[in-house]
Amino acid sequence: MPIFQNNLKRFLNNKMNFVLIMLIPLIFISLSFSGSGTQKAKVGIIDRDRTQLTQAIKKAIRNQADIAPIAQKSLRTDLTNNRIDTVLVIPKNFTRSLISGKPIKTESYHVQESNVSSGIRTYISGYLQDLSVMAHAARGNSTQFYKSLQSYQQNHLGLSVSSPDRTGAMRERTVSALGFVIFGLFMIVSVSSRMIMEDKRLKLYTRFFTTPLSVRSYNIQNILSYLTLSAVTIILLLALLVFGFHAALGPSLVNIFLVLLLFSIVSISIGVLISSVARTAGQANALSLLVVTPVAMLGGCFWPIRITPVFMQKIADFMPTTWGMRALTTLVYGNGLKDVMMDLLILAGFAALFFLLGSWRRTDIAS
Amino acid sequence: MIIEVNDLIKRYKDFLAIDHLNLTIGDGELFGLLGPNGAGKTTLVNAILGLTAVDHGTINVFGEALSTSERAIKKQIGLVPQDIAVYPELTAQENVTLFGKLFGLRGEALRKGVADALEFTGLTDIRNKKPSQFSGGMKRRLNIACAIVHKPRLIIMDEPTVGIDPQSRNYILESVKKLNDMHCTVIYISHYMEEVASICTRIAIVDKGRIIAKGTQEELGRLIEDDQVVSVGVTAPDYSIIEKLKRLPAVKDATVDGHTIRIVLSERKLNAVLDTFLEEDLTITKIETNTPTLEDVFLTLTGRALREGAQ
Ligand SMILES: Nc1ncnc2c1ncn2[C@@H]1O[C@H](COP(=O)(O)OP(=O)(O)OP(=O)(O)O)[C@@H](O)[C@H]1O
Ligand SMILES: [Mg+2]
Repeated sequence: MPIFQNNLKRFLNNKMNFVLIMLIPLIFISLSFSGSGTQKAKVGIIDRDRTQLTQAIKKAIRNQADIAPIAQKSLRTDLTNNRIDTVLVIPKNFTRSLISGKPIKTESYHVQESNVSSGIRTYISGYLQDLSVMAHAARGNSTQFYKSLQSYQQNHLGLSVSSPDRTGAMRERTVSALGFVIFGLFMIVSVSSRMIMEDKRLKLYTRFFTTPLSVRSYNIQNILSYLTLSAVTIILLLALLVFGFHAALGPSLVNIFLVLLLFSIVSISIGVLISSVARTAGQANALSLLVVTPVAMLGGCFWPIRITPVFMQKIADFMPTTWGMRALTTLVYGNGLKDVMMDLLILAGFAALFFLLGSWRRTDIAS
Repeated sequence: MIIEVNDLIKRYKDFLAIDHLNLTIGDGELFGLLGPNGAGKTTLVNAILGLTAVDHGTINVFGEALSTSERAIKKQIGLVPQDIAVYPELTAQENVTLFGKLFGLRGEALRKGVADALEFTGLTDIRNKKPSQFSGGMKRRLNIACAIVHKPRLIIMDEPTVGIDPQSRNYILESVKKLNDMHCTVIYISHYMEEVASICTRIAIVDKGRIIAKGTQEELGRLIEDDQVVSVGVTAPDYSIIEKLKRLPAVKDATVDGHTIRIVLSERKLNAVLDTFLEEDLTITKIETNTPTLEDVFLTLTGRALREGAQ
């Protein structure tokens, strides 16, 4: 496999590659884990739904903070007097829409720059995220949903007692760190398209096929080399997450690895597509730049999709990064591979589509 | 037969790059393919190696169509491409090794093939340097080394001496002859008349996708054996004289280059030519007559100079 070996050598020779797919994610990952942990805070809850679920939410919050009785009227003064740190408002029909898979809608109020409340707010949003993931997995079946909620509460309770950090807050940070891992792997788009374009620019692409090498073998060896590079990157970054930051990566590290590897295949397919469309290395570079960062942003690699406007959330459905992030989030929150099957299938579909488009324009080798 | 090309046609949209081309090259030949820019030489090579689809015709290499056993056939061919194609960030040795592997060499055979190719092209001493630090001539030699690492039966060299100093060029020409002496069939493509004339045993002249003449150097020379080339120096050349000269029955061609008018005559009769100059009242500063060269053969057959800027 001379092309395979040669690609690895070329990759290692070029320091820019490390900066792109390792160093940049590394810096952002470190940022995700910096900052303080959770603190006991005083939380006011206005529950307009009053269901089994909202009771469970209150119970979960009670484990982490003090619940203070409040009235709607005194809300503002209570907040400014620091009698309470944050207020959560659960709207009517919250439970029904959550189970049916709609985006979570709660309101929360807090005094700007209140450090005390930041921990519990992170916790609550993480917890709500957990709930929506469970709802996603239950596919609108409320019996199924409450069953998983029950087992979740048991596990969750055990965890929060023994190590308060492995709670929603830690998971939230882990997901945010994984967003940057995905971003790093998405840079493979640029690395792979650049290497293929370089072969063409140097006229090596044509020359290779004067030897017994076939186009198919060249393509397969190329893809395998980028896949190997991705696998190594994933292992290094996961090792950093586990040993360096004690990230909460869910029950199976292998599952996380597999999802990330599948995502790198999507990246490679986009790289191949770009190199087949672009005429020059410069065009390929510009195209990768145009694709990578916006798609990473829209797909929730830098911030959770749920905080973005609704129209952006709609666009996000067409971004492979979205499905990668979704699968990872689901896994981090304690689920297995079968709960992310749909996400994985969609990722595989993206890869198949891009590979197909990339091999569409078969022209002469010599042109 | 090493190569048999029958009635080959290649179009780029409406443009005929190869026009009903026929060619056979025998075992052990050092065959020269001569033609101006855009004649279709590289296109022909690409067609032979299956790198470009052709519109009509057949090509046999080593007696077989390429498609019947592509891998086996390509293992025995080495192409030196017209454009230097090596990795600038890999050393000379790494580049040659890569191609050795692509041609299927492993272990000792690979090591020896690489060492021999570097030795043959005189790159052994600088094998650990990168081509980005090489001179034009060194890069050209590395370009050749990558194509001979597997000791092919047929070597095709597409303008291997473009843009290099005379010393490197001589080195390469000598190497080509040596390769041919080692029972390797060589197709040497060039638009330098002198190169082809000095090393090739048989020559084909290509123009506009067709072979317009082929044979040994003597055979080609005989095509215009009776011709005579006359250069007349004048103080003030005048284009109307070209028209007049061309109307003379003995004149095959007439061109102006600076203060010299070049005339190809089919008969060795200068009288009519000189009469024309006198009629036009032009001052003749010198007259030179020559026997035709390959360059003249080309000029006579096509009415164009082989290289832009050449006489
Ligand atoms: N991919 C292509 N698309 C369109 N036209 C092409 C293509 N490749 C070559 N041609 C045209 O075909 C003709 C023959 O080109 P080719 O490269 O074979 O010439 P050549 O004899 O090798 O010339 P040179 O001495 O400049 O290398 C040229 O007129 C060229 O413009
Ligand atoms: Mg050419």
